[in-house]
Amino acid sequence: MNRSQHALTAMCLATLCVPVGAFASDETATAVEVRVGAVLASNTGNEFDHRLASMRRQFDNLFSYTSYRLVKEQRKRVSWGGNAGFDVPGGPYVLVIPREYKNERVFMKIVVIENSKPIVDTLVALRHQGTFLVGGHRHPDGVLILTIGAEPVRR
Amino acid sequence: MRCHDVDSLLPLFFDGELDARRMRDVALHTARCADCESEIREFEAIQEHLKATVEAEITEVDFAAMWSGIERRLQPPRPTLWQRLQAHWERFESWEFPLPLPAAAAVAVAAVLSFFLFAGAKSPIVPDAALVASTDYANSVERLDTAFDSVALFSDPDTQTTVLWVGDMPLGVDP
Repeated sequence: MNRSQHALTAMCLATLCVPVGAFASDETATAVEVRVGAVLASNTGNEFDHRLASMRRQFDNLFSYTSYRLVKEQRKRVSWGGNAGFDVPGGPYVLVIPREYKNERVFMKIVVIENSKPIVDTLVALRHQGTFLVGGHRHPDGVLILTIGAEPVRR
Repeated sequence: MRCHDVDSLLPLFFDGELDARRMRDVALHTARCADCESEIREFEAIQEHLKATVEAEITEVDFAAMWSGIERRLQPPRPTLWQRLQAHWERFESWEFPLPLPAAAAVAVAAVLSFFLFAGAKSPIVPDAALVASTDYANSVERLDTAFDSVALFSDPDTQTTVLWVGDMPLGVDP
């Protein structure tokens, strides 16, 4: 094979890779990873739980509490239409039902249950890296803020 | 925050042009102040009326015909498959060196794959007007039912965070 033929072969193999790559990039979100955290906010002390470092900007921008402590955090992989339950110590039970992935957003139903009654039942659409907070729930040591996020899992 | 503070901020609040903290303060005030809340409702009614009027106008526009017209002007006429094959063959014929077997096989496979990949993409893409108008790719709350009398919903676009504050406990105050 001369130099031109080598170049031609390489070019043809590269051409082959383009459609293969196009197939690979056609990913669909097969499931969703849901993360639910329970944060206890109060004006007692100045503690900022280091596990909440990635959310510091959110808390500083949105609230004026002086102390934030992560009570519990759970992550679960859920298929579309399935559901995942998260229990919060001393707080409510959170049920998350991912519905679909559309327009780069995860649509999911969130039900917050307390004493066997739904106190919040909502359908939200969260974009990539987006967070939904449900706050205002009374707790003996302050106020509970539930942090809910979801990222699509691609095959 | 008092009523007269909120009054001047309501138009900005309704258009989502306040920063997250002031947005939150206005939302919390209006959740508890009947007068300010009724002003919000008036803004909402005006907005709804405006939206309905615009949507009615949009439905009368024939977007499908408009897009196909634009596409005709944008794209040069596509040669037929036979014309493309003929052009390729003429180019191959003019080469001085013989086509190596692996390269010929790769070209054939690539052609078959490309045909199957792009065959379905011939029809013009006509965006749905309603979808274009409503898609902003931000967090949103599509529906909400709650047992609480008072809720506040606010968001911080900087951190892509949406907050639903429920119950009677003022924000920033311990129980």
